[in-house]
Amino acid sequence: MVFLKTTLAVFFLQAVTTPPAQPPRTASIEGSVVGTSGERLSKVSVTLTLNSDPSTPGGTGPRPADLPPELAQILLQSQINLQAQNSIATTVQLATTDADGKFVFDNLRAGSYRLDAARSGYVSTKYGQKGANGREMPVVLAAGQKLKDIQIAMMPAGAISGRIVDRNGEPISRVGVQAWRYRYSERGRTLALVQSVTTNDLGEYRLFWLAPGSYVVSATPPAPTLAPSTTTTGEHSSSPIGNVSVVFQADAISNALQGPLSSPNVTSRTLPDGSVAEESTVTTYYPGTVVAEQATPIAVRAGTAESGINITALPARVHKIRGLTLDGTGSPAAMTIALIPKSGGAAVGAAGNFRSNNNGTFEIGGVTTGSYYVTGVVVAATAAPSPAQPLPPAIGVSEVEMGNSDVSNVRVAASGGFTLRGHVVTEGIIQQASSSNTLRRVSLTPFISPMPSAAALVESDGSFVFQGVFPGDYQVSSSTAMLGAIDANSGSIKSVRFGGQEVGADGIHIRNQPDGELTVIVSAATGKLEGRVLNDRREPASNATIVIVPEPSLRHRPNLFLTPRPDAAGKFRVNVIPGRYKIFAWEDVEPGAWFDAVFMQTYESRGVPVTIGDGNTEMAEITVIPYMP
Amino acid sequence: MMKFPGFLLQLSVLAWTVQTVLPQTPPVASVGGMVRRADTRGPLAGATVELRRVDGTLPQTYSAVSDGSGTFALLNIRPGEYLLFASRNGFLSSSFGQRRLGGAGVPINLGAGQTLSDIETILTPAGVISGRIRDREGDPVGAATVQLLIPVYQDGQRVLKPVQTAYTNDLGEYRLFGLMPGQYFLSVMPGGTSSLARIMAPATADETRIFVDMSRPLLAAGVTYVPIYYPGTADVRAATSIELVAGANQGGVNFTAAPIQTRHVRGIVPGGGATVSLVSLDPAAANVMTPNQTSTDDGPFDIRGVAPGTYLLIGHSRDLSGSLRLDVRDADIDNITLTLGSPIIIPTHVAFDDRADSGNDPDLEFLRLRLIPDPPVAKISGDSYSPFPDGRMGFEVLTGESYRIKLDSAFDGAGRLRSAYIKSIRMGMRDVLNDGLQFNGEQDPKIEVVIGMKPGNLNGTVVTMVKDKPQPVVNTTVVLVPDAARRRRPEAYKTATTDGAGRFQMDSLAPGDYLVFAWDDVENGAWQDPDFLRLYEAQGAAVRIKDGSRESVTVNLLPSR
Repeated sequence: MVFLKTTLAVFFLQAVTTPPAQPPRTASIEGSVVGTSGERLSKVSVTLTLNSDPSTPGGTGPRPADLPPELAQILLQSQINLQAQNSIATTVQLATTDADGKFVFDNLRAGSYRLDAARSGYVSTKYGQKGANGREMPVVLAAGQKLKDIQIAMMPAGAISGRIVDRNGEPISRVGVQAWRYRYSERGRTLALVQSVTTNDLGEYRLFWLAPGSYVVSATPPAPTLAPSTTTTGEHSSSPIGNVSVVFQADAISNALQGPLSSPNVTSRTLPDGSVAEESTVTTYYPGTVVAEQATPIAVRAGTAESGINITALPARVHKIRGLTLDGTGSPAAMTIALIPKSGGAAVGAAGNFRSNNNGTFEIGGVTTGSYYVTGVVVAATAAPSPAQPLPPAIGVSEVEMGNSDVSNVRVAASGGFTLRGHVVTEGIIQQASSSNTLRRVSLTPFISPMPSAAALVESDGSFVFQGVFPGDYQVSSSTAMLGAIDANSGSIKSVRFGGQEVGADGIHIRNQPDGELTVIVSAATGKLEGRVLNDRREPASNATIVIVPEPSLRHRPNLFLTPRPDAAGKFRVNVIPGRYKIFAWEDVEPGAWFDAVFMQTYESRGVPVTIGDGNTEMAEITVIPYMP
Repeated sequence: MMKFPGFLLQLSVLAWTVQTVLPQTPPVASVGGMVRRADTRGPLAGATVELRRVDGTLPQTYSAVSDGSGTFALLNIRPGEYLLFASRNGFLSSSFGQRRLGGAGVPINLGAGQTLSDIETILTPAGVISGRIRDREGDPVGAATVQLLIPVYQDGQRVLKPVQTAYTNDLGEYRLFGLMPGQYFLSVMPGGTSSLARIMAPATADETRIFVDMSRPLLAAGVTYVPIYYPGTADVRAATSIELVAGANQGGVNFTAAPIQTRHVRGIVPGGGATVSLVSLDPAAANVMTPNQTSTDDGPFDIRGVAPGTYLLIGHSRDLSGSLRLDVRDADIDNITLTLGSPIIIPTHVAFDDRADSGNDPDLEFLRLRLIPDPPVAKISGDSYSPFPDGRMGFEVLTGESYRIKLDSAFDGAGRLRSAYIKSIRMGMRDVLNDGLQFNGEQDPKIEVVIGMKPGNLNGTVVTMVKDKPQPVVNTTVVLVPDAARRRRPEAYKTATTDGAGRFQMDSLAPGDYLVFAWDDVENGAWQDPDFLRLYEAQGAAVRIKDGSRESVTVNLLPSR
C-alpha cells in the first residue's frame, strides 16, 4: 500500500567521511604567548594551520572530519562563506594557553605550518608577525622534530568610548556608532568599517578590541520608529554602508515601488514658529561633520581607552528632486528610477528604487546635499525583443546637484547612450593565439557599481565599438583579465590610451559624446624578476611584504604594481612587463599604502632599482624595511 | 534642424509643470495637547510626539517636541487617519488610545480644518537592568550575547522568549533598557553566532579567521559554551527571575559565564548501518546549538561534545528508525541500546462530516494533516500526510511514541475548504484529537478522521461597569478558551481584539463548549497556563458553538490581578 507522505524540515547533516590513512604524526610544537611587557598570557586560542604537506602532493590539508568537534561546530554555525570555511577547514589543531601562557601541539606530521593567536582584549597575531599589518612566518617542521620555545607576542587592543546627544544635549539611545579605518587602494584612501555598536539609554557607546591605529568615528541615529510593534525588534539601526542596489533588469522593475514616493525616513518637524522642516537622520562623523573626509581621526594606542569621544547628532534638512522621465521617443513614460550618490555610498534618506508615474512625473523626497546620478529604466510593456525589432533605448542617466532647496525639472530621458570607438594594437608576436586567451572582448566598468556598464567584442582587425555608454567614470578591462594581466601566451595589456592620453587610476570620464578613441596596446614582451628578501641579520625575511613599483611617471597605473609572496627561504619569482621598477620590502605596511604618493616619499630611497627587458630574467636582493614600534 | 527636438522637449516639460501646479493646497488639520509622566502626573518636557499616517496612502510623519510645560502642537497636517505616538529617552513609548503598556493605539481621524487641542499622552518611566559578565577567573567576558527573556506560552508549553538582546563590551558590561515593568529572565552566551556579523565586520577575507576567533574564543575539546541563565546556571529550570517595577534601575546583575564540561553519549544500534543524532529538547538551547550527529557502521556509536540537558536521541537506518529521550547530567552516558524498528502504518480513513462517502472525493486530496511529536521537539516539524480521493491514508508511527495530529492546511486554490477543521479523530474508542496518538501494539488498529465543514462563529461586546452602567471597552484582547478536554490543543484557543465600539468577531470556530474572557492586562498566552486560568474559570462567559451557528455574547472585562 502506498501512501502520500511528505517529510518536511527534518535537518540532517552530511554523513562524516572517514579520513584516509595518514603519515606518521610524531613531531610537536611547544611555545608560549606573551604580552608587550613579557607577561605570560593565559586563555589564548592558538590555532595551527597546515600550509603545505610534503606527504600529499598538492599540499592538500586534512579534511573537515579531522577538526575538533567544537571548531567544526563553530564553522557550521557561523555565517561565513563557504570559501572561508574551506580555508579554515584546513586547520589542524587548536590549543588554549595555560596559566603560564604555554601551548603544545602534539602528534604532528612534517610540513609547513602557520600559527595564529587570538585572545579577548588583544590584537590577533600570527607567528612571526611584526606590527599590525605584518605577515606571518611559517613554522617548518621535519618528521619527528620536537620544536620548542616558539614565542608569539600579542599587543593589547584599545577602545573608544563616548556619548551621543541630540541638539538639546539629551542622550540618544539605539544610535549606531561606527569605527572606520582608512584603507589604501589604487584609487586612494577609502574608509572601511571596522566595528559597529549601539548606544544605551544614557547615550553611551564603547567601541572595543580595536587594534592600535587611527580611527574615524561616526554616529547614525535610528530611523524614527516609534510604533510599539517595531520597538521590540528595532534594536539595530540600519548601517550607513548599505548598498544601493539597482539592477538594470526586468525583475527590478516588477518589484519597483509605485511612485512618487518620499523616503519613510523623512520627518516633517513642526518648528516653534509653526513652520515645518523636512528632516532625515544622517551619519555624523566625530567631532561634528557629515563629511567623512572632514572627520578628526582618533588615535587609539595599545591597551588604552580613548574616552569622551562625544558626538551631537543633528538631523539634516532634506529636499526633493522632481522631474520627468521620457522614453526613447521623447514621450513621458513610467520609469524605475534610482538615486545614486556620486560618492559611491548609499544615498542618505532616499536610496534605492522609485517609480515615476505613467505620465512620467516623479518626486524623490528625503535627499541630502550632494551630487547624484538619477538613472531610469523604462518600465517596458512591450513583448520580448525580436531580432527584427530590437527594443528601443530604455536607459536614461541624468546628473543632479542637490543644494539647500528642492531641485525641479530634472529630465531623465531614455537614449541609446554615447558611442565609443577603439582598437587593440598588438606589439610583438603573440605566441599562442588560442581563442580563450587572446583579447576578444573589452568592457567599460563603472566605478559606481549600480551604474550601467558597456561591453564590446574585438573584431579581427582589432577594432571595437562600445554602444550605449552613459555619463560616468569607467575602468577599462578585458575579457582575459583586468588591465595588466601578464601571460606570455596571450600577451599583456601594456597601455590604455583615451584621446591620446594615458588612462590613469581614475579611469576615463564620459560626460558627452566622446571625440577621442580608446587604444588598448597589447604587448607580447615579458621579462622575469627573481629575488631574495633578507632582514638586517641576513636571514630570509619570509614575512616581508614585497612590492615592485613602476617608475614615478607610471605610478597611476595600478596594474604595474606587483606584490609577489616570498617563500620560506625569502625567495620570489615573478613575470614583469618590461620597464624600470623599484623593489620594496616591508615587515609592516598597510595594504595598498604603496599607491599613496605621500607614503612613498618616505621610503623612495629604500627601493632597489631594477630594469626589466623583454625576455630577460633579472636578479635582485632586497633588505626588508624593519617594523618600527 | 537642431531646434525642432528642443522645441518638443520644452513643450513636454511645460505640460508637466502645469500638472504639478494644478492640485490646490488642501485645508489642513492640527493636533495639540500635553505630555505627562505616569509616576508624578507632572508635565514632561522634551518628549517627541509623532503622527504617522496609517490610512494606506502616502507614508507621512509629523513630529513635534513637548516644551517646558509639557505641551505640544502639530500644525499643517494633511487630513487623514493617523496614529499618535509619544516617546522620550528613558520612558516607554506610548500610542494614543493604548489599553496597556506596549499595546496598540487607536487611530485618530483628522478632517480638513479640524483642530484637536486636548490630546493627553502619558509616558511611563522605563526600567533598566545592567551588570557585568565575568569568566571563572574573574576576567570580563566581552562580545557576549545577553538576552532578556520573558515567560510565554508556546504550543501549550511555558518557554522563555527573548525580547531584547545586548552585547557586553570589553569590560564585560551590558545594559538592557527601555523595559516595561514585569518578570524577566536573563541568559548569556559568550560570543554567540548572531553577534558575529554585527559586532565585528571583517575587512578582508584574510581576517575572517581572526573574526571567528575574536567573537567566540575557540575552545579545546571537552568543553563547550551553552546559554547560562542568571544567576549562573545552564539549567533553564534553575533560572531566577528579576521582578522589575516601572522605572526601576536594577544594576549589579552580575553573573559568571564559563564554558562547561561536555559529555559523551555512547551506545549501540543493533544491526548497525545507522545515522544517530542527538537533538536538544530545550527550546532555548535548540536555537543556539547544532545537533550532534554521528554514524555507525557496525553498531557502536559515540557522540561527543554533549552539553548537559534533555535530548532526543534519534536513529535512522534506511526504512528503520527509533528514538530515546535522554537526560544528560554531570557524567557520560554509556551502554545505550537504541533499537530501530520499522514504523507501523496505521490505516486511516478521512471523511467529510457533511458529505456522503462517495469513495471518490477529490477535495480530500487538498487536506494536509501533520503528525507532530508530543511533546513537540524544536526543529522537528513532523510529517505531513494527504489522503487519496477515496479517503485512504496511513499515519506512520513508532510503537510507544506519542504524537498529536493537526490540520496543516486545506487549500484547494479557490478557498472552498477554507472553513475545514478536524471534528474528530478516533482510534477505536480513543479520542486521538484531544488525547494524542500512541500505538502500543493493538490488534488491527484503525484511525477515523472526520473533517467538519460547518464551523460556527461568535460575535460580542466587551463591557466594563462605569457608575453601574456597562460601557464598551475598545482595543482589548478577547480570548476564547475551549472546554477542559481540548485545552492541551493550542490551536483550539482563539483571540480577537475589540473595535472602536467594543465589538469583536471570531470565525471558523470548531463546534463545542467555550469560555470567553477579556482581561484588562494579560501576558500573551497566559490563558494556556492551567494555574492562571483556574483563577478566572468561574468568571468566563460560557458559550456553546454548534454546527454553523452564529452566537453572540457579552463579556465583562476582568481587572488585572
